[in-house]
Amino acid sequence: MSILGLFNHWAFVIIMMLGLYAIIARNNMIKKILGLALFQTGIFLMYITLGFKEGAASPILQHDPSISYTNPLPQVLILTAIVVSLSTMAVALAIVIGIREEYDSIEADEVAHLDRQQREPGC
Amino acid sequence: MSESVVLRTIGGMLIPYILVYGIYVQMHGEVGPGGGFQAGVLVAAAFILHSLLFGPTGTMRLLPRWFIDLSMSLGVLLYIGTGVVCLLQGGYFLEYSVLDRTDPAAAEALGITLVEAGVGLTVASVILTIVRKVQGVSP
Amino acid sequence: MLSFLSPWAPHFPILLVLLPLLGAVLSPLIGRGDRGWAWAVMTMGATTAVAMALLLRIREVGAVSYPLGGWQAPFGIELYVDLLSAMIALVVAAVGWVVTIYARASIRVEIPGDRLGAFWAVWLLAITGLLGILISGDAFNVYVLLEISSLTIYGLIAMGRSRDRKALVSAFNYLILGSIGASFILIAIGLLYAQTGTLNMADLRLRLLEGGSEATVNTARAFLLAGLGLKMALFPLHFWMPAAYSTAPSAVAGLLAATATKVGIYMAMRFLYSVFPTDQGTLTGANAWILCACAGGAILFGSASAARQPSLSLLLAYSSVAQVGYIVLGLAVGQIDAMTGSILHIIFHALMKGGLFLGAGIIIYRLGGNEFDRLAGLGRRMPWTSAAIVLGGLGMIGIPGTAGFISKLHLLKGLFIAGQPLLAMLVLVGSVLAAIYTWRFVEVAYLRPVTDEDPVAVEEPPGMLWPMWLLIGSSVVFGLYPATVVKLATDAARALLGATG
Repeated sequence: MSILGLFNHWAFVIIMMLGLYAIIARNNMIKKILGLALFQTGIFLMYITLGFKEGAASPILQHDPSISYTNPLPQVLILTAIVVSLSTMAVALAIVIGIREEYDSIEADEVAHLDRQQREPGC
Repeated sequence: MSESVVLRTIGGMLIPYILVYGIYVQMHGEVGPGGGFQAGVLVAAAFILHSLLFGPTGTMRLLPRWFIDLSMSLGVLLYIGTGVVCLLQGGYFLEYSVLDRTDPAAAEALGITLVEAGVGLTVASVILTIVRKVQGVSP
Repeated sequence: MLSFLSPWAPHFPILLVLLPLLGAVLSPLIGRGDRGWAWAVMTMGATTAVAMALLLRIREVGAVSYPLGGWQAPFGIELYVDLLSAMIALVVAAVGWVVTIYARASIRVEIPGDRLGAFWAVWLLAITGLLGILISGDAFNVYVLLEISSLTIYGLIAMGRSRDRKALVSAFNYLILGSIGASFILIAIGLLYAQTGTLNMADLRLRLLEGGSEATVNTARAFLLAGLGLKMALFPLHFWMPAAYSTAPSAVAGLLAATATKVGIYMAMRFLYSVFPTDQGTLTGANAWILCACAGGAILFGSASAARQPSLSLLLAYSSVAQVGYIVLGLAVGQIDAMTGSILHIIFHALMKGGLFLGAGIIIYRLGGNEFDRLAGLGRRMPWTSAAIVLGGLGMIGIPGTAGFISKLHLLKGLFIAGQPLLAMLVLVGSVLAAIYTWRFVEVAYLRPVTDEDPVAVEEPPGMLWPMWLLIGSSVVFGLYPATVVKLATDAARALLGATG
């Protein structure tokens, strides 16, 4: 299997790693959420790549018995996973709005500093 | 609220088309890419565009809070209700073919359509609620 | 006893999930406040009845399978309930019911009315997700329900912001970590699907036994364990838990401590023993050692940290980290008595820890917080609450007469039989550390004089007292009369371990 034949695989691994890096390295909470979304998108790409067949049609039934279709099951799984990802981001954004209201900041280190200050005044 | 006349005119003309496309996607879930979730997002997008152009309070007058809350619950109830009717007719949960014992294939189509309609209704309401929360609209 | 439900018997599995789901959906229409609470209590009562009926039915007929939509496995999505699932489902439903009853007073104080929103709907949805995970027989279905429960739980934790704004930060951190964990589980499911072509868990086991690419299966198992480790707060992936449990509303903390981590442990049991191929009933290769190392770390670190915490809630949270360690230790060893001990500890810890967090909640209700410097002389000021907390602490140590003793006994027996005396030593060290942190509470509550500015007698609300005593009391009852539960747990362990290729 050539390196280029695995292009999709390289792509989704790189996207997943970029997403994970963003979650860890970025301070801004919105950027962390975006990193999470990127990570999950990489996983979706992985699933769809699993179902792919060379030269196959998209899995919508046509009246020609000789057509081969790509596997529809991973695509259905991804639809569900996209909904889950959307809901996760919605909850995350709602929490970040709350953090903004309470702390006046959405930078993780500032928020942690404010919390530490509250615990040990004069820190 | 957008002050640009161009945006408001063009956007206002687009909204009905987006809605129609959303309903098209809903109905065509069986024969093409589509279905409840995608359609719900499109319908919600139309109303989000409306709130961006004409202000969230304007959209609130169109679709009041109680209406959206109700349609959220109604969508899920439609889904569960379809399943429970199948239970009552003697089949398993969501076994649509028992809805019409003379023509199980048509019954399956009916079941799927109802279920997708419920999903579309709920998804549209939920997304609209999320965006309203982000916009900070007070009910 | 529940024979009026018998015409519905074949549908019990789906009813178990349908009832709380319907309750959640109708809850915004019923209203918030006390009406919403009453509706939630009714829903949970019905759910507990179905869970009990399901357990009784499985005792009669064996494991139950329910194909959704009439589509048979392995093509359709199947609900598969065996003895282990039904037992944990009953615990989740029953403890959920008791905590719901307790929650009325606690929520009234901790969440102001205008922020209440659809609290009861979210609460019932969380329980729906947890119950669904327990009865699902399809791997992807498990992922979806896991996310349903996780998302609702993130929301519930964030509701603690009115008491302590750190609830938002801990909810956010838990969300990020939990979503990464769930995404790892999703990757694992994808790899398993790529290897076998099926998502049905029973079918997965058959196909995995046929062999195939070792690398794929091992990678899938690694991702799965990492994801589950995050979800069940196994050391060293536990660090989200103390912050989340101590800042969440007390009723939420009670529910979570009793149910959420247990369901994660159940998933580990199910996947490791009933899906992945095992080596004649024990885990293959390094898996057992990795899990044992993490569990050992959990026991030592959790118990040691618990004694140093400034507040009761944090102490209980770190204690939970240690208790998860005990359960995973029994799981990893793969010996029937140890597994029985783990299953027993899942049940008993749910009762004891649930009760303990409810007790911590009563203290918050009356005193505004449960930092140790506020608790001086609590034994005199709130005698019923303190007594319950001490009893729960004794259960954590494993004093004979409490349920904790029974589960630890089986665990120790299993560890000795499996030839792991060092691990058994570890369990005993854990008990000593648990004694230290229990003594910390006893010392503050009973041996410190009441300071002048604290009121001497604080009225303890009965509506919160009796649910807590119900949980703690039942753990004592099971400690004295454990025979039925032990028999059930042994059968479940046997089914889990014996189901090897």
